[in-house]
Amino acid sequence: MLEQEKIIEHLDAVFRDMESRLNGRAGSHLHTLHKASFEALRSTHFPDRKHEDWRYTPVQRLISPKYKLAEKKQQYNIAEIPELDAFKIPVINGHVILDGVDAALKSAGVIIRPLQEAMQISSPENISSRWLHTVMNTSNQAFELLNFAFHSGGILIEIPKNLSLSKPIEIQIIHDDPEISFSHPLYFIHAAEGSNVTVIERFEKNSTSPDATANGLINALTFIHLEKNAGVKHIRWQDLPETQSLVYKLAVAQSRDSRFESFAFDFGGDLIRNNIDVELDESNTYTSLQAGYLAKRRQSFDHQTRINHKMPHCESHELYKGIIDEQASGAFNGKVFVHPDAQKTNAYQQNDTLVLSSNALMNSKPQLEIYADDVKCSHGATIGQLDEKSLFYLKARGIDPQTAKHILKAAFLAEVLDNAPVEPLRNYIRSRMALDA
Amino acid sequence: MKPLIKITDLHVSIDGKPILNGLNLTVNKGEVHAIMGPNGSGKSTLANVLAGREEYTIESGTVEYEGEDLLSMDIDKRALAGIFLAFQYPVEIPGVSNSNFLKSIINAKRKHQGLPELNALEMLKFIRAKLNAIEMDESLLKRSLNDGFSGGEKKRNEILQMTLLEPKLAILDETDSGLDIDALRIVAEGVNQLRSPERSFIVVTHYQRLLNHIIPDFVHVLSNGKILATGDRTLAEKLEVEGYDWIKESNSVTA
Ligand SMILES: Nc1ncnc2c1ncn2[C@@H]1O[C@H](COP(=O)(O)OP(=O)(O)OP(=O)(O)O)[C@@H](O)[C@H]1O
Ligand SMILES: [Mg+2]
Repeated sequence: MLEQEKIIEHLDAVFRDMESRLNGRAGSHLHTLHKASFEALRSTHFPDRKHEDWRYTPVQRLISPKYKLAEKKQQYNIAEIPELDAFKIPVINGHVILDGVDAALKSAGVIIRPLQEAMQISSPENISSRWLHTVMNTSNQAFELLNFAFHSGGILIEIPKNLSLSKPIEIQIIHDDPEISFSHPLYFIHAAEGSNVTVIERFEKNSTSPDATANGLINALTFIHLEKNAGVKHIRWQDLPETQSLVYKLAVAQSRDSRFESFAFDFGGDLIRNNIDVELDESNTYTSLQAGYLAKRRQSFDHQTRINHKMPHCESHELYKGIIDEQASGAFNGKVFVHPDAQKTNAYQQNDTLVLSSNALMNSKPQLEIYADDVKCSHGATIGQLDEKSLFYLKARGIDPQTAKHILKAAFLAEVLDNAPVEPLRNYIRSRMALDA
Repeated sequence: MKPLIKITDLHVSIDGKPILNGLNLTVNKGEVHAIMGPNGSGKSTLANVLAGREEYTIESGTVEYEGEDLLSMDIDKRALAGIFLAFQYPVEIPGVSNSNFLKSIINAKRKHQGLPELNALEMLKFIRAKLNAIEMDESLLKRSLNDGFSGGEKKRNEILQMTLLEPKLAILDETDSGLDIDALRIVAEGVNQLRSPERSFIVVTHYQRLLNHIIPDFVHVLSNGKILATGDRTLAEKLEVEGYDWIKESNSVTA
């Protein structure tokens, strides 16, 4: 039997097991969606390394473990970020813990709905409900279908018109199960016209059982829709246990005059696949994607971005900075499409990498496809090592070699980290990096 | 008295090209030695080799520092043992804040001495006092290390580090070049305040001017990787007037 067939056969058993536990909720909207997605997944092959966009991700290592669905769990403990005042939303093993959602969010005006409920709102003017249906019925990507087939609910976060949220929303994602298991966090964030919000997605260990030994896969999907003149800042911080992998997809759609900024910081985990997909549906938008990452051991970090400039006067920036050490590998593939109508586009992309060991590997591939003539687009990629002269300077002041290297690594990532919003989070990430020295 | 540092018949090359060719130099505690010499004669090479720069090949010779084999010591251990090099060309390191860097080097030294780290307030007071003494602009603390500093600001930052670390042997590699007259005087004062019977200096310079402020005990002329002449401060005055040619000639006579 082919590897893919074996995997589907295994997933089939997991799916039937999941259905057997639905008690009564079969036939619901979500269940219908689960079923349709699983059927679609059956006929959709998981990508392999022959697939251009998956050439540098060891997909087999991701999908061959015989995952079961991670059990629902209420006990969790995620270390607080000192001084961070945020609206918390805990997500444990793919389940949003609704009781744990900060009640102040509601009083601040934010609406949180389980997807089950959100999808059933039938009023035609409810944009977000329609949006959910469209998104979930049009996906044809294997890992998305896997999420839609197996997710355990998910939520819609609605930021109402003209609301500027005073504190960030902190979504805390933990995967913690003693067995080989996967979980499928799913959320939709709808930023209505003129609203402003900062969203932190924090993938970390359960601090009450930090040394997870069983293989775990988090297959997370985040959708963000920015209406006219909305502003969203998004930060993803990831420090998962070494046994866990993450397939992450962020799909963003931007309307006129909206501003979207995303920062991703990856330090932990095993295989990390980060996909960001931005659709610029209307004109005069601003998009910035930045990332800083530090891969060691046999970690594999793969960043895939796609920015689709469809309309005129949109501006996008990308800055990806990574350090690849020991036997780790990294990949960056930055796609930028500029359609014929997208005149006056500004699109800039830069990928800088330090490769610190002869066994470490980095693949960097810009991919700009430009079909408009009045545009400014640029891209660049550098690969280098720690600067010997700088190392000498630090050591000549009495700093030990290990610390000197660490200082230079942190300095390399500082360019991205210093740009990120939410100071307590920046400080937290800095202190976590310091542990790496 | 035991010398602080004793360099004996030192031969150093880079990429197979000989640069130091049998250099001898002994510096006792409390002494100030000036080294002058034509461009490319090996002055910075000597300074860098003492600090431990690894791209040079030590072909032969020995360097004893406080009775120990300096050449086998790690770079950071040399610094902790009291050797300080004020760089001719200080490195710019974007992303490392100057103040954090200064804290790191102070605490590295304190750790080595078995002292507790200074807290943020003590640190600030300590750095501020030294900074004011050399009339350095406090805003330079917030910037990235040497990043975009003017030539003079970089040199002042080197002197600041020297006064913070209070080394036993300070090697100043052309710290005076690029400084305006006021800055030169301030830097020289910084050095003079540190002068003590326990502390020694090797001052590399092209200009006698600096030596009017920092009065050396000895002046050496380094040429072609060797010390060709040694005298007192009057040697520097003679060099200022007559240049190096007469030494090269007299050398060819004695050779
Ligand atoms: N990394 C290197 N690679 C090749 N040659 C080098 C290197 N570093 C120094 N040299 C050579 O070694 C010689 C001595 O250089 P050094 O910098 O020690 O001279 P210096 O006496 O300090 O000169 P200056 O007065 O100009 O500062 C020069 O010929 C220089 O070109
Ligand atoms: Mg020099």
